[in-house]
Amino acid sequence: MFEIKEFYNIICKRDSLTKIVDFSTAAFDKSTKTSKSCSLIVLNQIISNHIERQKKKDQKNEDKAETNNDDDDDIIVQHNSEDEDKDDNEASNPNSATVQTNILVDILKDKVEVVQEILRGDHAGEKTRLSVSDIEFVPLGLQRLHTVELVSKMVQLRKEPLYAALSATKIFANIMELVKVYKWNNFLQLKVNNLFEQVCNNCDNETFKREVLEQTQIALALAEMGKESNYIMESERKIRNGHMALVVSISNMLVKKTEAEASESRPATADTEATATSATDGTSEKVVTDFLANQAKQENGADWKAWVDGELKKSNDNNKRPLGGSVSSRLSEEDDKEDTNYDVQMEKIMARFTNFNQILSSGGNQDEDEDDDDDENTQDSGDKTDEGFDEDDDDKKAEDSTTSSFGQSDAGIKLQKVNLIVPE
Amino acid sequence: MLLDRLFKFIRTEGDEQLNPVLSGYFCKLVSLLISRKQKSLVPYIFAPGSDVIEQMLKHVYQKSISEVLNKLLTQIDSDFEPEIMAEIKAKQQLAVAKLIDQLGPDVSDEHNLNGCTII
Repeated sequence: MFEIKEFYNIICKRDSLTKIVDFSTAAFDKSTKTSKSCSLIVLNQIISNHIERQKKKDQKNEDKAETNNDDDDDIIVQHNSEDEDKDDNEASNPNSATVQTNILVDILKDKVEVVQEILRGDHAGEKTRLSVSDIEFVPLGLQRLHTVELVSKMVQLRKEPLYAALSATKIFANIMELVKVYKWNNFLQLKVNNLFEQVCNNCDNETFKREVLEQTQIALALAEMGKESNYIMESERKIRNGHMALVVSISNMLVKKTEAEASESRPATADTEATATSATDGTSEKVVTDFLANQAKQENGADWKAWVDGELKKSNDNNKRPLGGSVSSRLSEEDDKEDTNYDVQMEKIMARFTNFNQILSSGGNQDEDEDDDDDENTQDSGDKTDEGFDEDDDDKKAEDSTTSSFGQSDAGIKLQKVNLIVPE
Repeated sequence: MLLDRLFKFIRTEGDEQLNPVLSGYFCKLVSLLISRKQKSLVPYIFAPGSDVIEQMLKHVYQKSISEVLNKLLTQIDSDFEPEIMAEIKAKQQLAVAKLIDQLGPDVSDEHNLNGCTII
């Protein structure tokens, strides 16, 4: 139904959205599980749709700005006035993307506290246990899983009122708590990974970013979880703990972000003209670096450094190690390269094919020279010899090269001068 | 009229539930009519006094019925008379509103799941 505009406009009306959000954010022990998870799925889908539309709109604006730059000043003025008119229309049109997003944001920001309550890790409920241990626990449940996704989508919406509302609560601390409690829940880990990726890489509000990092005490939390890298089973057999992939992934994200911030601030100090402007930018963008520096000053501050230099480094080295003699990423890179110059590849294949045909047709008295032929017919040598290759010239080339001084076929053989050493 | 006899199947009284197997046959037949005889079917279903959509919304807990309902709401041509088009729009609005209500805790899990799937 989302694909049909009329339906989508009805769904995005305030009344409909209020109902869906109310169903989605019903308390943990109220309503029914199916009702909550179904309405959360619909709500997340609606927000994803808004994000898509926003992205398309931004893309359009960028394209417009680019075309405006190429035109004359008069035209720019004209275009800008047209845009303003359109914006006015958008603001007054209840079915416009802007109005619908504003309604959604308005409803969601009032529900943030309820969401924080839902995401608590200590709800009472029917207990279950894993097949490998006797410890009983309340399962995470679809509601909390989809609610984590909802928070991630709310961050992706990039709206200031939502950032403010999220910062005012302990939502992110609660999510971190869930990660600690549900160490083996891969679904939760995927959502949390996505959430932190959004916060670190796609969020342009530095205050919000800082607030999330502070609230979760992410570095220390990761270091603490990293300490429990192994899970000891009842048989005393050790296996890798369930949360380690997430811990490694987020830690690497933070380390990369710190490096990126360092490299961004470097040119600002080197460039004398741009120092004034970019230095201020540099300081404002060093959120992760500043946060990690602050964490290092705390009581357990050394833990993060120990984790990065120890277990994290070891894990990354292990992950880089080729499995079964090949590294998948390297293979895919090669494939990409081959795909890009597909035409060139086809020409090379054709050239090799004709060459091979010529050898076959001209007889096989080249046993001794086979090794040389192989060397010459490799891809690398083909790069040089195949330039300007034309199929029409094949016959001519064949005629020229098929007869050597011995009257035998030399097709595909490169003739070279050899200085014979005369024995004294 | 034959269509009356066909749609009598979903006009149940009170909380009486539909037979899932028979619903499957019903779904198959209505789907066929939607694709081959839409010009005769749509004016009947979306006639001003018709209760077909309401009855289908009532029985949305049946997967087959929810599939037919989805088709009736989304796969309709737009070359009908203006009166019928207006009626179609009104019924579609009503259906969306009711489907959103189906996400609530007051109805069964099947209502929730099928409502969510259609939306």
